[in-house]
Amino acid sequence: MIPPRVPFRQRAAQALADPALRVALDRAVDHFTTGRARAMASLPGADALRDHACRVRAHTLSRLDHYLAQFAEAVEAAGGRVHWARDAAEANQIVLDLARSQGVKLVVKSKSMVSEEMGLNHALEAAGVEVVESDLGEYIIQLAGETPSHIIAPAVHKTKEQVGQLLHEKLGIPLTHDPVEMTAAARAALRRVFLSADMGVSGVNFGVAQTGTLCLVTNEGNGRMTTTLPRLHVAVMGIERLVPTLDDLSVMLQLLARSATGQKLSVYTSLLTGPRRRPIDPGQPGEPDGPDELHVVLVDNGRSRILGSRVAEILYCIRCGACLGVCPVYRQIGGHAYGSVYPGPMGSVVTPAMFGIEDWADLPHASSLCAACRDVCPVRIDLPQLLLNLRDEATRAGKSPRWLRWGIRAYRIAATSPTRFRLASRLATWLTRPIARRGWIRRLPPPLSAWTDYRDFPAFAAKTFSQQWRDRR
Amino acid sequence: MSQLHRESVLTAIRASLAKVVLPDARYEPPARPSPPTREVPTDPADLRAAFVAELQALSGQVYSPADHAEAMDILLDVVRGCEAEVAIAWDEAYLPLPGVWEALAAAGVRVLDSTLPPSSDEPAHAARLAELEQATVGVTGALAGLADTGSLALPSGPGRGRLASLLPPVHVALLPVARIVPTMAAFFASHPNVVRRSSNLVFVSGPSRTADIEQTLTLGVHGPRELHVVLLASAL
Ligand code: SF4
Repeated sequence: MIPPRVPFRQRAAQALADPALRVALDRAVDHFTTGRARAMASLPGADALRDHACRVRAHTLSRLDHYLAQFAEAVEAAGGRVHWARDAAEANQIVLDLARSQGVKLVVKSKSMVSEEMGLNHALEAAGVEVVESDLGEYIIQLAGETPSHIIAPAVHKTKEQVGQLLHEKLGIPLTHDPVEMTAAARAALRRVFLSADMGVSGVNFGVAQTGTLCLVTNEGNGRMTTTLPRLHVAVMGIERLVPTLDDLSVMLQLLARSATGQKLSVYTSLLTGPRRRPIDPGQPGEPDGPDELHVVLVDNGRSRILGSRVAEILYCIRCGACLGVCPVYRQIGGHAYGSVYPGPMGSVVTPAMFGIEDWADLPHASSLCAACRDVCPVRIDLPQLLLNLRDEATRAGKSPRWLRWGIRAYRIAATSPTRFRLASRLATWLTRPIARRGWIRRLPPPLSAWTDYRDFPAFAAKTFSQQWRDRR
Repeated sequence: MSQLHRESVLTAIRASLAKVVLPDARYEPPARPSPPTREVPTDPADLRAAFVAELQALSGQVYSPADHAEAMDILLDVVRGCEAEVAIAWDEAYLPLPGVWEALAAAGVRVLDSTLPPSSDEPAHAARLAELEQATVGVTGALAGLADTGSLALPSGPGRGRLASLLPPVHVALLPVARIVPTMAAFFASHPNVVRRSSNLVFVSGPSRTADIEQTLTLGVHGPRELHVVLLASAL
């Protein structure tokens, strides 16, 4: 991922100034958070189940080499082909080679964050292969030439008015603000794509090591279409997305849909084990439909390195998106301001960990550390702690923000001598007295305005703590 | 080529695991954890009631006919209701209600051959798909129902394609009540080989839906807009 040229603060400021984005976020995000809360409440023993899910993830990752090898073997035993990619470029090349060797002209895709991370669409299009996204939200942003702003609701930043206008322009349908009409138009357009695509590319929600099964969940049915109709199915998955057994899968599925959309289970939970089965004996019937070939591309792209880092825990993530909706920062600025395919608290950890802290040092600061993300995370990732670990890494790499370095240096000068500290606090009290109103300071001169531009600062007490201490004695 | 990368990925993983700092795996890999047990209904009447309530909450239509004749009437009513002229159906052998194909034909509905020719025969493959796309209704059985989520378990296999529950806008599933199990975990326990036998096992929970435009619920995006489940009192 290439980091944006504009720094995060500026991107955030731009997002805050966008009135349509505020409308879209306000309309949508509450649906997610209340839906999730309701669904979790309906799950008996939810807390114990989350503890358990966390242990399953820890267990799997602590034996990832074993489970990955087992998974690959099982996929091949079921008739699939497994490809290993160390980085995004290799993964793209594998898909591209498959497309080329089989004369693929049209690829239909079901939503996949890994493929976004790889920039797969771009790689395919550059090679002259047409790619169409089939998840409605992804389709909308593909038509708009944008990137997803949420890992499960890619077009959450768009109002229905904007979507109506877009479909009117791109599909030539009459202008409408009715989501039902818009959906019908997209369905018709995508049907034609499904029926003529040569290759379907999907992500994978979970791979089951024991059976070589790919689990894919969608609500629209585009995942089923993508993995059933084209003659080739290529599944791209991060190497961390494994569970040992079907039982573990059923635990994860209870949490995934509830955390993501507030459903007990997504509408379609597909378990794919190998390609369409041929007849066991000639003359006997085989399966009537399904792809002739199934390819699984296992993508490392930094994951094995993260496994040995101080943020290894982020690999537990099941990409439910719950931490996005509850994050006060995400709720204000939306996904694009993060500048990465992975936004929100989870993205602020994944992005620097995967693509390098040097280029993404400002993301771990895109958090107030309120810990709402940790509270909702179904696999109990301690996101605030991971953000702090990354801030620490950034400082060690000499990449902490300038204001922080200077501020800390100034504080150290003041705080390492009682005299200087006393002097500094008196000075601060005295200087701010004329601008404090009812206990709050609303505006400070630069560079301190960086604080007061966005929040008030409590006024200093008339007497410093050490003065009061002395008075009481 | 891929084998080479296999080793380098696995080696990188092992190198990282050697210095792993995963909170729950610090000293040695944790043993396989067993999930917390929870109370689930086991009484058939409770299971059935839970299944029906969940599926209805997901906009699925559920019917409980008294006998096979009534079940067939319901099926034909749905078919007439959507003015179906063409249908896709599982083979008779996998439908828990005898005589479906015949009854559909008698009602003037053409049931298509839903076996796709091999994709190497491109024209035939494309022609069959185009034909199947015309179907208004798909009729399937179901291997099981999951009570706690109102889901149907549909395995693929000879005579049981994926398309019948996917392409047509209306899906009718015939489910013997005795096949309703409490949870997905219970289903896997009673069908341990199901994913080995089927390239595709799908749990269907209600009609296709999206909320991608401003979280407004819309039914029937890519999959069926209507899901009708006919509960049959006795299994075959
Ligand atoms: S970090 Fe947790 S809450 Fe956030 S997306 Fe991942 S699993 Fe969901």
